[in-house]
Amino acid sequence: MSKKNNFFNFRSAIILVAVILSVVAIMPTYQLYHDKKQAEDYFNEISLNTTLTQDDIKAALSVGNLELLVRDTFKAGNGKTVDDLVTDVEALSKLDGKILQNEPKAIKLGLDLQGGTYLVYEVDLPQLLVNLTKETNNRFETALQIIIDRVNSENEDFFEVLPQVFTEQGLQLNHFFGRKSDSDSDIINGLKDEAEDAVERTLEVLRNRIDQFGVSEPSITKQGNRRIVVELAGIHDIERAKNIIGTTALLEFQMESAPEVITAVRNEINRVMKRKLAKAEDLDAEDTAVDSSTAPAKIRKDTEVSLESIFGESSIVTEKEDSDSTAAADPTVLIDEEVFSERPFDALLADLGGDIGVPTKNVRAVERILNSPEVQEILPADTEFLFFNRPQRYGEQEFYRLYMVKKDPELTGDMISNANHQMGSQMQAGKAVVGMELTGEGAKKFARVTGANVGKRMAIVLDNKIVSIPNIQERIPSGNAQITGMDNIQEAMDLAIVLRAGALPAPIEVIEERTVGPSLGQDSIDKGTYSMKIGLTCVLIFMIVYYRFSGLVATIALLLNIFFIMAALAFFHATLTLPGLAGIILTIGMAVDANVLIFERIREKLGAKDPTQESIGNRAMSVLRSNINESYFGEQKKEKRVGGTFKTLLDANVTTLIAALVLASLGTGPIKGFAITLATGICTSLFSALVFSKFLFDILSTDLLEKSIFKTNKIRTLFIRKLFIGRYKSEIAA
Amino acid sequence: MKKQLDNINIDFLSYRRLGWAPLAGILIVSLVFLIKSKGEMQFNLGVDFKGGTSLILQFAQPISVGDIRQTLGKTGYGTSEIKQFGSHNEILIRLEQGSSDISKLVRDELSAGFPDNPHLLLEVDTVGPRIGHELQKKAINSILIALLGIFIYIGIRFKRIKSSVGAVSALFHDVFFTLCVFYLFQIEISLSVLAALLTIVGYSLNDTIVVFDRIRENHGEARNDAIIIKRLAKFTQIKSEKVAKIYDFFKKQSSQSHPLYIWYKYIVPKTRLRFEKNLEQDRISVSINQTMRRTIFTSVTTFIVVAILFMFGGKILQPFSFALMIGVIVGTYSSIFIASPALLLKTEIKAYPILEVSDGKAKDKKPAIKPAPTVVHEARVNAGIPESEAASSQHAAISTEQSSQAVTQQKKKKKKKKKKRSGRR
Repeated sequence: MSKKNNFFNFRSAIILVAVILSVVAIMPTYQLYHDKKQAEDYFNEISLNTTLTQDDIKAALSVGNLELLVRDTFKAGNGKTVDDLVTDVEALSKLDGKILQNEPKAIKLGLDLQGGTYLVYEVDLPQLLVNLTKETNNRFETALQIIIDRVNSENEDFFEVLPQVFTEQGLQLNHFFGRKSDSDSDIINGLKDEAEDAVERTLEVLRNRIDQFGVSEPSITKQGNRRIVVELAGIHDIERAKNIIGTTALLEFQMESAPEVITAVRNEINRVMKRKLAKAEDLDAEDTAVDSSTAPAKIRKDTEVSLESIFGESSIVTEKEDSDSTAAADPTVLIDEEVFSERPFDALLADLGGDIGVPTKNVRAVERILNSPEVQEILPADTEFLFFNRPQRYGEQEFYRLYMVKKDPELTGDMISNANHQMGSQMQAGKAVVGMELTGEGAKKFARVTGANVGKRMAIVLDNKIVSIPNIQERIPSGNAQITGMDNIQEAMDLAIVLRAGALPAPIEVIEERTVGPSLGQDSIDKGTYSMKIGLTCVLIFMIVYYRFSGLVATIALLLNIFFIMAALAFFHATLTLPGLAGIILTIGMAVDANVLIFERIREKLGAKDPTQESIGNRAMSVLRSNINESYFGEQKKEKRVGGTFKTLLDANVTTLIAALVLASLGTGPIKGFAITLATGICTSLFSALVFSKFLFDILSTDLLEKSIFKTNKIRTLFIRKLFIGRYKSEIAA
Repeated sequence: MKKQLDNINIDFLSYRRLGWAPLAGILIVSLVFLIKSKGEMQFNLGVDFKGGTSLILQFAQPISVGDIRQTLGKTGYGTSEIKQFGSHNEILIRLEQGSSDISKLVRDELSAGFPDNPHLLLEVDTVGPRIGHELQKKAINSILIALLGIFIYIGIRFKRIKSSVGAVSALFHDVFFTLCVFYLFQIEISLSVLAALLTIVGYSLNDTIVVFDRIRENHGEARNDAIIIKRLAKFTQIKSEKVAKIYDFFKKQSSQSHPLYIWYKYIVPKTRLRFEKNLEQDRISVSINQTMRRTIFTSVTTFIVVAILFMFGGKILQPFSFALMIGVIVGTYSSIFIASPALLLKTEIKAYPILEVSDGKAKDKKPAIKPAPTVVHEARVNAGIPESEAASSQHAAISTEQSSQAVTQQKKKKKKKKKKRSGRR
């Protein structure tokens, strides 16, 4: 090492730049969390004085109609006026702008720290296939079921299994898809394109829906070829979010079938069921044990009967229903005993002022009957039975209405240009409704349909469930339609969101969900930082007691290290998760290792080449300096450096880095966060141990310092022997 | 020099045969449990790997598990795993079904069942069975990939396969041991435990490499002489001061031929192998002892930090920090008792070629001797000859054979004396 002051050099410049860059990188994060805390106060105040929830406020803030909403929902009585709140709203929106600006530059808190949900959706390819087919039949459906089973159990590729199963089942692909002249591979490729397109469209629709949540930085990404990962941070009502995201939102307007057709079909079903029951009773009579200990019949004489007794050996239905549905837990249904023997299907139903009502308990049974092949056969081809989407209470019982409607929709959701939640007027006064505006073409069609069907009822069907079924009073030329029957304004808002964003091309299903409540997130942060503080204190005390002055150097390096990790996370806009926090804590433990390794080596060197013994006077500090240098970079031995800690540290850390990178590539949220902090921690701790501590050591042993502070031999000896790195065993005989 | 030797406090490698004993012990105990439970006691895989739903709920007031079981029993979920989680208010419910609306059903049921004791959702994990299966595969793959990457890296850096073998077998040991502890205590294995396992891999490796590096360094150190002298003294039963004198004398006499070469010439092959092995063992032992202080210090600080995390870091991180606590202990142990002894593996085979090159008798049998370069390299490494001297000494071993005959005549006598003495004992 040269004798001149060597700390105003390239290295010190690097350290300076690193520190400045870190400060710059970390500033937005600091600003952001400062602003967020302030915003939180505003949120609390607004939600205290209105009927809005925090989620509502966030959503309204991102849409920009918060002021209106606040005025609408203001709740007096907390000593605040509307004007106070409006000024709050203004301040909040200003703050929100700042937050939005800083957000992409700050450390992102993971879902497990700020609360939120991680959802993996899978696009239902079989259903997409059903939507795409020219026609379906039983053989097609069994083939599809086989495909689903194989894909699920053996993890095979859907489009590889598809042609195999079709050939096995003796089905022609071109019979169901594409043109007759198409070859199998053409069709498969076509379907693949369709599927890819469907996933892309789903992604787009989900993005549209989620954008209206007011979630900070939602992440919606494609995973593989049929999965979509949605990450929503800081949401309080997760069920609601899931409902909005997960609904297919296929909106259809379907006309109700004529009453005489309905009656005829009902009679047919009764006949079929009676025949079936008679057969079953012949087979085993004792199984029809009727449980007569039932509630007193008010509307009808009802009896609880086990489902099995109606279905005999349950041979009517194939037992492929989902076994995890709760309805399966209660296998009894209510039947009207008087009519059961003659009209078994009617016995399950009730008459609600001309409409068919199904007691909640019977819904599943009725569904099974309607889906049974015998009943499907007698149903007119262009009609279907649909349930109402929510139960209604009559007397003591809850009923779902059941309607028979024409299969072909008159209008579909893609003809909607806009949808909004509103407060209803006239009959619907005080209730929330969703108003829809139709596109030009849609309005024309709607006018024609309503004109042709005055006096009839038109069902508004969402995802195969009827949401409302208004009577058409007159021709509606304006292209405005309304969905009524919402329970509250939230429901109307949600429905409006999904209608605006459009329908999904195929249903999607949650296959993985990880949700952390906001309170747990905060708890984790508190506990994490608490243990970090204790851990850090313990380690630092240990270091200083054991290594004295060098321990202090290590302490500074360690604190700087944590600062660097934070800055690096902010710079790369990485996500800090709970395991990530643990990773930082672990890095504290491991970063000490680098310093310990160096210090032990310095001690050893001091023992072998004691500055206070070997060389007297001015040279003591330079011997110390060369000792430190040798500890870092090794001793010069015949054109080769031997025994530096540099190489050891590099090897040791690169291998840990390998493990961390593997972890990062494995990849789900929190674990990835851990891997990232671990990898960052390794790099920064190498920097702080090899560059920064060395820098401090060099400052310490410069000639300048030697001349000014360590003037006399006595002070020098005292410093080196006692203070510098703690006591060391000198191996040189005195 | 003498003082440096004082560093050898414990001859760790003498206990190397016991290195795998703790793992074997815990494996046997685990097997006993497995057999006793007739295969029913298996790894407690979390929903991450098995699929299913796990819910953590926080109730406003303390609530008993029995009540919850009863309430959920109505819907058929009474048999699922329900237990207290942390405080009396917090309940963990684990269900086998992995569909997304299950959690809502359960929560609705609990809200209806305990209307005056509302609950807050702390955490839900729902993993479909297929995803669980995928994650399981991914987890095993990730550990294997990490180990493979490490194997290759160490192979390149330390230029010897046995280093890789030693390091990776130590890592296997650590992973297995930790998994056995998790099995015995029936702690849930989740994704975060996997992260912990990979961190243990990284940590243990850190330790191993520090020791390995020291061993590598000690092959070229002046300290090597001290180790050789001590071993010679032990071997020949001569006082070490005397051996040191002879050794120094040799060194000064002919700087070109390494003293070891001469030593090699006058002992029988079998003893030489033992000596070679012992020498390597000493070198490793010295290296371990030299890094001992650092090992203890680092392990203790890391352990403290992890233990604090375990105590104060909250319930969610506990399996993670528990795994790390075991890992720190096992990782430190394995780099000393599993990884380092592996470096002795090939000594017995590779020591012989040196014999054939330098031994007079062997030379007579095989007149044309062309030592393969790899052999030279191995010889250098194993004999502890400083690198720069290696080539020349090898060269010298052959070319100066005749000329040094006279010089060595005198030494021969001395050595022979020693040999006799050692042979008698």
